[in-house]
Amino acid sequence: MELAGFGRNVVHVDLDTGATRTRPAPEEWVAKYIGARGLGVRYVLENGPQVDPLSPDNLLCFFNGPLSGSEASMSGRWACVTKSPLTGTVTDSHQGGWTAARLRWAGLDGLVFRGRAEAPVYVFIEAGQVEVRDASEVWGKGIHATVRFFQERYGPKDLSVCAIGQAGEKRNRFAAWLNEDDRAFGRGGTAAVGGSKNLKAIVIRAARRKSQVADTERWKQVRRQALDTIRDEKNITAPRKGGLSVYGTNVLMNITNTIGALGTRNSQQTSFEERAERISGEYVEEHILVGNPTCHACPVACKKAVEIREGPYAGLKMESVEYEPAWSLGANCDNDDVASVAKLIDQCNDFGMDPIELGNVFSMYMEATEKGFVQGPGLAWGDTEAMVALTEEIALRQGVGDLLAEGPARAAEKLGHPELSMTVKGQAVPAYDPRGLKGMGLGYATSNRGACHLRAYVAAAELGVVPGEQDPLEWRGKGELVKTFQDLHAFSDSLDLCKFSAFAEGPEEYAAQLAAALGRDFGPQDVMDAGERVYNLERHFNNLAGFGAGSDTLPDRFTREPSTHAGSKGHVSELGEMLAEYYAARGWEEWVVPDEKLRSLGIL
Amino acid sequence: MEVRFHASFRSVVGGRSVEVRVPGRTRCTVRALLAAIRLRWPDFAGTLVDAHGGLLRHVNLFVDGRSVRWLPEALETRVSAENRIDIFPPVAGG
Repeated sequence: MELAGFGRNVVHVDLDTGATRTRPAPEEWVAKYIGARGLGVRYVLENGPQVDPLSPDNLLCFFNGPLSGSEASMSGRWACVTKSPLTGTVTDSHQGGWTAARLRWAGLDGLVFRGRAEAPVYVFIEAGQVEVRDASEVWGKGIHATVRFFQERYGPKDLSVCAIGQAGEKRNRFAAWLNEDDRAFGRGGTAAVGGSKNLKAIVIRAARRKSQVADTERWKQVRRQALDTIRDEKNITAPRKGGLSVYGTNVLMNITNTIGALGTRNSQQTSFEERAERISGEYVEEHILVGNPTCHACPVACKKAVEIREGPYAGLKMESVEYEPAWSLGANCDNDDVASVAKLIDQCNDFGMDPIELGNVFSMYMEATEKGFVQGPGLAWGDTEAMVALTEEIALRQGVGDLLAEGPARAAEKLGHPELSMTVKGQAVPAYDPRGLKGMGLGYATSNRGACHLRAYVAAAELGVVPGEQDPLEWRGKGELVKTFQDLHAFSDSLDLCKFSAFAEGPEEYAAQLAAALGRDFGPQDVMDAGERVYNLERHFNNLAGFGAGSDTLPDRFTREPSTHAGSKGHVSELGEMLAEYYAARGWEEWVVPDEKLRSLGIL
Repeated sequence: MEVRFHASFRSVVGGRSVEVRVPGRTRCTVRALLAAIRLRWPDFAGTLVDAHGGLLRHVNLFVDGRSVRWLPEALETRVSAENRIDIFPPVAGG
């Protein structure tokens, strides 16, 4: 597979007719937007920002980046890009596992779906060929059963299955694609777009193939340098030694709890106090951990497989109790039962839903129940049995589940209490309370896909794990910091390397690997410039889609209700001050990218 | 005073929360507390404190939820049994 020719093998699938056609991506787009996230956004922009996300006219793109599935470390990532039915923004979500690698080994760089099949279909990909096939036998099945079905049909060897579950079929607005049972395109409701197109799965059969690169010797050298950085014991990525490798992402639970940045009971509190320990990475490692799975070309192995041995969920084996769902379905819902958290995550993995959004819709509904805004029984804090039952109703849009499947923003609006929805641009907040990590709050507000921790993961600086430590409670300086992190991550998402590579690597390593693979003259400044271009491209899409005044915001709870606990006690988010800094750093006229800026970046 | 250790530091001290005594003191600086910790658990050399008794970069020590790095008196901040002390190796995720 020739990395240097990245972008030549993009297959367009017209689901109206079942026709497929290979068309190279425009060279200019690949040069400017790199791949994966950036390239996908460019296609979605070309399709038009006004499109109804659940109409046949919406484009559903799956793109590798130029390094996806290569021998580069942490390269098992690809992107799903579309206009989101949850937010109305452009959205991209990224998935680990081996599907990205198998797409590359099958000889393809990306898939672009448009239209709507008359009946359920899946695509089967092998040796560069894409065929649209009948999926009526698996329609209505969950992810796990769908994966088994295709493994039985085609044999498990060299096979990847990326599918939607019942939630996507029912157009749940936070439905997620999953591959190989448990690696998700988690955010933005991309699987609802799949469901609206009657597209059930992408099935790829491909054996491992070595990458052909422009400069073989240099490629080996720069990959080795990047790997050495990842393995460095000073970094949290160090295999079996660093915190991320040993405990997974859930190593964060105790530190955010300690500093008062762990939203609890729908963010009415900023700490889960002593109960946080029982849902933490340390607790999981000590009590229920049974394995450390990994993704393609990743020595970190941050995934954590668990087995529940007692209680109502005894016998459950699943991966992975990540920090985000452990928070959203745990502390956020006043739930310290880690077994139920594992059960709920596995339900999300099977029905195909985003657990961050699910936890937030629960906590919104719980607070509404507590305050008497719900007619009927509602949902009590920490009622895990009811949460498990309601998860199925939400996935299948049954009963009140039909309302909650709209996501917390729409559901709270319909309940008459939008103030209970902890969302930005319609997408729920993740696990870092903006009153205790102020840069993260600015990152949520200015994220182009709605509240997101990964667009600008400035927690790395605010928790002091990368050079340039920043006081988490200081708002000054966060505008420039957030911009820099957003640009860097827009680039790594376009390569597409795992976001966690940035705990060890930086613009130098990214540029060197891209240059060696593609034979392009590319340096660290080009990394930041390309990242900035992608970020502005997304913002341009959103502006054209109607996002304007006031859309970069946070729920009032974070700007008006002071933190209740620990180091951040008494603090609110100084969002207005941070936004002024941020827009100045971006060169935006508040929330809008001016044409002059777009021209300077080569977008117009 | 009670010191709470997290992540891989727990395997060094053999638990989650341990009582650390600074001889002759009920109140001491964070620097003195670190010296007592290093004396009791020599394995912390190179992972928690540097040769000069300072906190290694990327290690977080919190006094009542505030990183000592951002407190006005930094390692000279005085602490007692009234304060909650948490110590973390580098941790992050997503």
